[in-house]
Amino acid sequence: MNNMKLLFIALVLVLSGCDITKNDVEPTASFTKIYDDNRFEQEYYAVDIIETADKGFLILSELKNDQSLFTSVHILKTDALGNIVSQIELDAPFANAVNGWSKVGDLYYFVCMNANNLISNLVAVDETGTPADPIALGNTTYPLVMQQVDNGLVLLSFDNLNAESVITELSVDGQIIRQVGYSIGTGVDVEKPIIDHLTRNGDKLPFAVGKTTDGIYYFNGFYNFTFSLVFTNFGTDPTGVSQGQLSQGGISAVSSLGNDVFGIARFNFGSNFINPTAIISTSSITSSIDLGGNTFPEIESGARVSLINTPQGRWLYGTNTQGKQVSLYGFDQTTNSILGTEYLGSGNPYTFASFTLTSDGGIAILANTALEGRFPRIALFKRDANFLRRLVP
Amino acid sequence: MRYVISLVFIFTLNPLLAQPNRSLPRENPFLQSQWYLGFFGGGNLAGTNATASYNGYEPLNYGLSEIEKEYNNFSKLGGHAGLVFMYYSKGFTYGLKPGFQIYNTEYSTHAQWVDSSNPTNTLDINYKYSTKFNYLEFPLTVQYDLMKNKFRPYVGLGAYYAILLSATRKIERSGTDGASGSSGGFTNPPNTIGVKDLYITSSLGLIGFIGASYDPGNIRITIDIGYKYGLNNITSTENRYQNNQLSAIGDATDDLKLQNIYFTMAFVFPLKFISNQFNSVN
Repeated sequence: MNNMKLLFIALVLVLSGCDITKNDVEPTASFTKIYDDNRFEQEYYAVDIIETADKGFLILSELKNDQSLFTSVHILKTDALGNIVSQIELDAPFANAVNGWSKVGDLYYFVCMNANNLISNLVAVDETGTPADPIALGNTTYPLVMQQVDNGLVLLSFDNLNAESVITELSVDGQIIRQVGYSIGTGVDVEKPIIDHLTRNGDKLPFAVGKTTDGIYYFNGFYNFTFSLVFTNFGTDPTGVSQGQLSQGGISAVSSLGNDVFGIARFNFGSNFINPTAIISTSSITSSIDLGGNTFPEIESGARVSLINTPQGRWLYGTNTQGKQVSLYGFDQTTNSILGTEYLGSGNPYTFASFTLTSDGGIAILANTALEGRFPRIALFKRDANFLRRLVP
Repeated sequence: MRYVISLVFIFTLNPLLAQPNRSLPRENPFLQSQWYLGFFGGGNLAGTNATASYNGYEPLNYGLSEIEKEYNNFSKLGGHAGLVFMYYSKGFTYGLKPGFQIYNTEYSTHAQWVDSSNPTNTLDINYKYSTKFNYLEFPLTVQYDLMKNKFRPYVGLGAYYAILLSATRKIERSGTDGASGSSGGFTNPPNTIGVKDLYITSSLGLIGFIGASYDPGNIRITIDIGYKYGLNNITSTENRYQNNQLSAIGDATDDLKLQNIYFTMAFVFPLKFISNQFNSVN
């Protein structure tokens, strides 16, 4: 009898040692949060997410405004579990937050627009989610996208009076360092997609701006009647252009590897393509159609696409499918091989907004959802390092 | 199928395992103990003790208490069946009772959206989540006979280790959609999905029970009523949000400890002295 008891106790200890003692993963490693408002009329649209020093998050979103063509600006601060710490809606006339966050020093910056005078405004937000007073950025009207470059910022905006795409290099205190505008061409048909983008009455276009690892500035926007990837040294003319096809074809996401090699996603009349190692001349005129890439029929037409160069030296693409799931793809940067695929969301529709790698080795993915299929809300998927390793080993 | 095979095995081997009658004096210490082999079956009402709560929804303008889960504990009938190995000595009976356990648990949530400009314009949604666990359980028990007759009430204690074999969750969605101009309710067809990955494999717990046995002959019939209290969190902390279908609708499994109230009837056969002269009471 004693032998039987000892055997049983030993069995229990051996078996229980397997997963009970290991079942202590930090709740911050993985979670899903849907930020809900129980009012019908409140419609939230996610813009961007960034991790803060306390391992929480700042979430930038748009709030539909019944009184204006432009959306209100909503800032949400969460803790590391995604729980709400604070939230604030910027007072009118500040509206239309563009693509997202840039961290310089201890502050987090984004750009929005003064709906009264259409001037771009830079907003600094501290760790607690408290915004400082917006700073008007000179004469830059209709901000489209902003990106951190070194310790400064670079902004793409639209000058409707001169029908120009304007690229501006800024300091974080709002001083304009350099600025140049390039004609988008003249005519209502050229301007209409930009206005539709700004008023959220049409497709949201994949405007982008930044600097290659070779030190060349670029923007992805309208130039010479087409949606183009434009390279510039702030001279009178661009140094190089990869032309799209009006507003129906072009590049939807771009990131530089250097030596004219880029990870890109592109769109062309509703089709989507990914090329992790596209070669784009920064000093001549080319066409985005020639950039090739594999077609991804599952990606929804007009879906937002982002890509990150991960510390492992892989590309991580984020977008959403026609089936309204967020989709993530890992790619090798030399062989073009796809390394992993993950899908998030089910039941309610989900569309991709943004993602960021986190300090614990995981990833935070910001998405739009529609609760019960009808209430637009923000969703945050935090996933751990194991999840990320499945995508980019 | 394995259960059927096991029963056949018991009935087949029982006579062979039983030792022949030997006319030994009754005061012989050999007569003071007995081995039993048999089978059991019964029902249970399971519940879960949430030690930490998690939510998929994070309210922007209302309290979390409005959408908290409500556990409907001990409301869903489950069942169990298995084998009994027992050893009796000096009023104490030691038992090993491996068996299959089916536990059914349930919780529900509620959400409401309102049109601020017309408060009668509302959407109410109710979700009911019913989880079915299938465990292979290994309880070790000790019980003390309060009387030493053919009818023997007893009290007992024990512990168990269980291995999760499978888990499924049925999701039932219903509500009232006043926003669409209807004041009547609706109910969607239920959807059942596998959720084994949401839980860890192991479950440990304690058992307390009372019961009684009756020995009509070379068989002992026992009836137990007991309570099992889980000691560990059965929810996988790693996989809590990994189920796409659940996390995307705002469901997050809490840290849970299983508990259940059970009723068991067992039939056990003595392995010594099965004859007309020495029955199991000896």
